[in-house]
Amino acid sequence: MKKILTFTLNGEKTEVICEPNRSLLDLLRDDLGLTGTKKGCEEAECGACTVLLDGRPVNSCATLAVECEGHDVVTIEGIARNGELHPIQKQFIEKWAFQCGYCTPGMIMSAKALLDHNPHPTETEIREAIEGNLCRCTGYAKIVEAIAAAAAEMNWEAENA
Amino acid sequence: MNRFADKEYFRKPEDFRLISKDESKYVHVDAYEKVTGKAKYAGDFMAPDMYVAKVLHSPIPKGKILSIDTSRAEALPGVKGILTGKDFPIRITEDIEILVQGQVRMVGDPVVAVCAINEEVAEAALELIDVQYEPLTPVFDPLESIKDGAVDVQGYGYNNHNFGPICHQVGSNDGKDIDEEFAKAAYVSVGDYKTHRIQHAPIEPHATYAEYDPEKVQWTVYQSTTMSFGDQHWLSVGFNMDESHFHVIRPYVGGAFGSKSNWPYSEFIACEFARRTLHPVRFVLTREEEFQTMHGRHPFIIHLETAHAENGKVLAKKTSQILDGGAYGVSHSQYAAVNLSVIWAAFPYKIDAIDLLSRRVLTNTAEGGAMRGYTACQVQFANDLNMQYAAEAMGIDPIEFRLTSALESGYHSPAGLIVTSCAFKDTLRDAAAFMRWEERKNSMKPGEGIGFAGTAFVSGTASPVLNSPNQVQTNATVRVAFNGQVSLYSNCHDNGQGADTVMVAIVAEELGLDMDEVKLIQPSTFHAGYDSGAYGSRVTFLGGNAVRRAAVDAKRQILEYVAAKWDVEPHTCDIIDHQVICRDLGHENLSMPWKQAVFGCMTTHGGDEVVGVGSYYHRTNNQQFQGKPSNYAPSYVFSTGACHLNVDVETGEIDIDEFFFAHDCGQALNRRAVEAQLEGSIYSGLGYACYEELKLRDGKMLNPNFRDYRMVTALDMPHITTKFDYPPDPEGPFGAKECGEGTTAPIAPAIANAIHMATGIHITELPLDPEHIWRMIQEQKPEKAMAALKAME
Repeated sequence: MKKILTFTLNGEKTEVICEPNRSLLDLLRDDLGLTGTKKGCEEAECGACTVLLDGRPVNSCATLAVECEGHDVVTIEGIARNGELHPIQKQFIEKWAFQCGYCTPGMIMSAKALLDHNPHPTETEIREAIEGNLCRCTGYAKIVEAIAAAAAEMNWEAENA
Repeated sequence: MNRFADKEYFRKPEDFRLISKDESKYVHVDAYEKVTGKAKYAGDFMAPDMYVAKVLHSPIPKGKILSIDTSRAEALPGVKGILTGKDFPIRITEDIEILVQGQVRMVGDPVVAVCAINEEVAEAALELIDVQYEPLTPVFDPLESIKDGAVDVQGYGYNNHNFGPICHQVGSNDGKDIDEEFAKAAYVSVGDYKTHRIQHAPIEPHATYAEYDPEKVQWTVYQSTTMSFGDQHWLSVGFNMDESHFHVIRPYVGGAFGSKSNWPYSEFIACEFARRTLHPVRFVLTREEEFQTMHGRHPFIIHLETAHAENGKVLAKKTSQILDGGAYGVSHSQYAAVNLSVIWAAFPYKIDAIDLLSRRVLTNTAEGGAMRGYTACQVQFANDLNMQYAAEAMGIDPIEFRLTSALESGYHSPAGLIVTSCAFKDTLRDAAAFMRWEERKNSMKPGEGIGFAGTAFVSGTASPVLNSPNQVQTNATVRVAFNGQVSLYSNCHDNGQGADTVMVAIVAEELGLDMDEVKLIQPSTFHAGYDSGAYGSRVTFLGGNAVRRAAVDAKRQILEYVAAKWDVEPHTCDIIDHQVICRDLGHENLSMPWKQAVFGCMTTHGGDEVVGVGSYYHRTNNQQFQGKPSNYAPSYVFSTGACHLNVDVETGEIDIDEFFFAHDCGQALNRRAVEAQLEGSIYSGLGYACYEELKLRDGKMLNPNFRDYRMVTALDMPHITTKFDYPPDPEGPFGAKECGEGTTAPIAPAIANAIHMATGIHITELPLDPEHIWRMIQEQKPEKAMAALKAME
């Protein structure tokens, strides 16, 4: 039976009607038109569908939409701040950390979850944080570089705020 | 203007503002869309009245379809259409049916298609369809399939190997006789090698979004493709209509690696349902369908023999290569698989006498097809290991051994290949220097190894598969509006490698503008000129040359107008940073702003816009596809991969601590993009060598999913250093050559050679995962590995 689901999506209170077996990924993409979150494998392996649920990275393909009742969901469409790209987004551009771009939104969300909780990650911690995000194009080197640069930028901003 | 463009108008290297500048205004044109999730891929298109399509596949490798009962599915609310091979009897080549009609030939063959209001209903409908089969005896082993009297894989009565693609090149330089070369050899190296089955696995699966307009009798198809004119052509063949009925649009493409240079069944089915229902139809393949039905890398069985002179020089070579083609592909692009595999066998050394045979054999397994480093990854694995073993057997340093025979500029191969720019020897020397080979080669501890591998690849598939040379060309148009705004009409296919960016950069460089002043028109088969596709490493070289010629054609018209006003020779002028200037002695002070020059040029031509056109193709013939010598590509690239690693001889695990890659790609157009392609190539090659393997049992894939198909993660990648500063190519755009495809080929042999050095195991097969390495150590018990084991005790 369909349910009314109330949750916070990219900072906005959102109310939708959905089936109890609807995945968060399908809700975002097909019902709400937020196609920035990508579908790659539908078995929680590739990480292309990563979003933040209360600040934690989750595979939205393996998360039921109804689990988000009363919780906070952030997608790639919700991380730019005050009309400016998020530092991670800026550094992905600066370092050419994407090629086809299909894994990029999920990768950026995993990176955001890391930097929000660990502002000074080591290279290994960065690699661990994106281990569940598969990229078939880049070899990850430029992605790791971009996340490290974003950490530095965010720390500089925090110290000079 | 065609390929014989007036090169006097080309931008001179000393005036480059964007090309290969570290600190330049070279920007990625897709950047904002890709980091914000706004980039739309084919599966992102939708409409409120959209339907979805899905397919029921064959669960058995070979069998006759006895009956199909769709009545229960038809009765399910929300089902909008059902198709079987009888209702939709489309065949696009001799052997490929969109929905099979009488017989299934592999697990995964599409049998019934369903159209429904959403995915859930479509999936439920598939469950309600009952197909009865009479199982037939399949054949899975290509060596069995090739025997006389073997099972007929397809059931058409064709021979499993003689009907399909076969290529046999026999030839020599200077009248040499291959048997005499072998007879006089100081050493003959003989080897048998095998490679395994893997899949491209782009993170974006194949997707189609199709709409149909019955008044115009026209389809609009958003397709994840790297070959939109191929889609248009094969749709027109399938539906038996002129190509003008099919508007194929390439949106952003989420990786391809060869998998999207095809025309998947899903595209035809979505188009047919859109026609029948007048609703938009979306068809996105599942990950399992992607693995099972999208033609991964061919497994190879290779026998090869090389004859060597006293100093190690390769005198002659014989190969017999068998490609496991799977159940389909007796025609069209699969000729490329065998012909390319012969070209790679003739490379990257000077070999004056060759006898190279390749056969693509049918089996009742998933079809093999094009994949990054198309057949080069397999052939060059065998080639290079064979060189390594020969060097060792002859007691010659492996770098010296390779240098003795390495290809050089000016060499004409008996396979018809003509080497122009070539820095292969430099890449070998640079790799040896980086690895401090001379210093370290005799001081490795047991379990430690350094491996090198040298390979070559084409810079642009140019030899026509079909009969017209136009089939492999690119057309481009540059339009300059009255206000100086420039539009580029180009269909050069971007699948993530950055084609859109490089084409915009080429126009901006030639016209002295910034990249944001050049607008790329959203590519589609109706909105811009022909491009054969992003395959065979052709985009930058062939597409880039076409786009450059279009820009230069526009530039020439503007310079002619300005030069006439100044009374100077037009080719002494150029456009630098938005100003037309003159280089002629005594006229250096002349200048005119870009916009003024454009407007003036238009007014003197009665108000006509300035339009530049360009095209490019390699002037060759299709003899290579008849198994005869011809110069397949306009240029060739050369690489050396090298790695340093340690092997845990107890577990078979390897730890690569350094990977070095030297690539002769001519003039790099964008250093970051080249570096990224090389890093990606090492990723792909490492996956092929050590991680990925599609396992089959009775023709059924055991691991067609991301859980069981192991791929390289961020934690698995080694540290990488690249070098690509080699001389420009005379024919490539701004001197550029291929980068990012053939560069996957040296990875596996470099790793294999390092493991061989570390352990002493004789490697002849892929993959080199811990289990295989451990088994080889246990079976072969080589001295080095035993010493390493002892040291661990």
